[in-house]
Amino acid sequence: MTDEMARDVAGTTATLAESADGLATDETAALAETVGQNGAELENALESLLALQRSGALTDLVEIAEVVSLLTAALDDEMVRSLAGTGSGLGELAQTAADDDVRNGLETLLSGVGAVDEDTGDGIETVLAGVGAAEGEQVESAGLLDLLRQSRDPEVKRGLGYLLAVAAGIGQHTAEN
Amino acid sequence: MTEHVAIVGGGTGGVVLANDLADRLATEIDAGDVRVTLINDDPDHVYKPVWLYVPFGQREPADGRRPLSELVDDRVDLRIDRVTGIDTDDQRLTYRDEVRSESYDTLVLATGSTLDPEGIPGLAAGGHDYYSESGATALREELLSFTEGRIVLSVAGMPHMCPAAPLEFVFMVDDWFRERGLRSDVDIAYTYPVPRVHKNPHIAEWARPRMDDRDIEVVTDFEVASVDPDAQTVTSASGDEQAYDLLVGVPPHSGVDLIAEAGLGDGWVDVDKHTLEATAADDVYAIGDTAATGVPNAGSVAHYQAGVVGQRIASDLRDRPATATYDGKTLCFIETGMDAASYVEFDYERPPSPAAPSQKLHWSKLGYNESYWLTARGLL
Repeated sequence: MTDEMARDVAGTTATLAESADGLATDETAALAETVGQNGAELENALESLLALQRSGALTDLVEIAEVVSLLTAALDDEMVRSLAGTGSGLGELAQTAADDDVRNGLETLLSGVGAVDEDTGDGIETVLAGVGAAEGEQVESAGLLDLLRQSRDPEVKRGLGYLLAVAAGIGQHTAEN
Repeated sequence: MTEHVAIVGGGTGGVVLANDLADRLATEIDAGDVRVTLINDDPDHVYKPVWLYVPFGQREPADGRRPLSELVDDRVDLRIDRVTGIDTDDQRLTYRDEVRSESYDTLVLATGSTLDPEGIPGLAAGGHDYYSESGATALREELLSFTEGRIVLSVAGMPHMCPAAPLEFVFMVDDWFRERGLRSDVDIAYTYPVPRVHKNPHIAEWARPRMDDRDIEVVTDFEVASVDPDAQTVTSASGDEQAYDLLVGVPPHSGVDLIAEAGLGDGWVDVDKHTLEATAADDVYAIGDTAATGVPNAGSVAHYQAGVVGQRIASDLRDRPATATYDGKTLCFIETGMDAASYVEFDYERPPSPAAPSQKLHWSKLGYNESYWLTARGLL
């Protein structure tokens, strides 16, 4: 061993000692203890992670996590309230619509609407908007004279025309079934 | 007495706010205590982000248009007209098509940005853009037949709508030509008026190496002064010249004259950036591009601000203290190619940190564009 080699060895030993000193914190000691206690589980977890890495699924999962992060970032209290309110309303509607009789009736009604509008989405919106508008009005019982008087209203005329077309569609559907 | 809330402008901010108020104040509106009017000079609502995809033949301008009457709640009075004057002392609006003026109790200005290509000599004649339906359609005709030469994207004015869109366009056009095997015959250059590639230093720092990796030539500190359509050059204020075969310009934007004439600001309304109340008049709010808050001119900003102003107006009408405030929340997607995108989310306190680009974020952007109409209706 030369002087230079002795200096190198001493230097390396000192560096290792300093590194060991740096690593010997409470945190690393606790980490080592945790690893020791959970070695088998950590090995299994690491193997699962490596399998995901090898198959490319890990990249997908990270990217999906970014999308979840995006959704979280985009929301604010108002949006959560609005979405939850709509979801709740849809749930109540679904519960009502799930009744066998209601479901059969709705299917018949929708097939009639679909026969009028090629784009059924627009047709459903038309009917729903009409129902919504009626709910917002003070609805009173109407007699024959009221019917005649209101049938002169242009909006009622347009609505009646639409309803008659829906009636024709329902008639066609019920005849087919 | 019926309280009248007038919203001027039927873009994202105006429509989201109108539907927000229709929902929030349904009881008062039904009882006749409150009236909400949305005023717009076009019967259609336009979703502008669709235009970015038009030049690449992926969307049609019609995909971004829907009648306001289909989007706005029936509780809102929709008025297709143009406001020609605002008197903030007497709280009255004058209209183009109506002789009588109309009073308001609360006014919300959501008039947005208008393009001003004439502000740069030669830009209208020599440049194309994707910041308008006609511009995006004309650019599509040029781009689809472009097989070789130099494309220059020049940002000719700030602020402009969707600050990430210039970066998106060069990333997309780079990828688009690569996919078609033409990139080696096409040079792409990007000019920007400040000493980096984006106004926000964090986004600029993220974008610059990606542009370098993809051979997108960057020219910063390039303040566009003029365009020579015959020589096909664009010249900066300091005399630098860039030759182009196809110039895609982001035109200067301006606010509407109405705002300056009403003494509310220099084209953009001076507001308290948290309450969004105008500083020069009572009972006046501004949202979206119209409000000079310093945040980007983005649809998400108008959307979030509409929610805040909706809460404040409802509190005020119910004689309660208005406590809702806007924290600068902004969310922007950034397309980084034809099949990948990133996004940023930030506010007045937190700077943006772009997410790692992925196809799934790109799909999220496409998915949101399709479901935007739920946002306009006040659902999403």
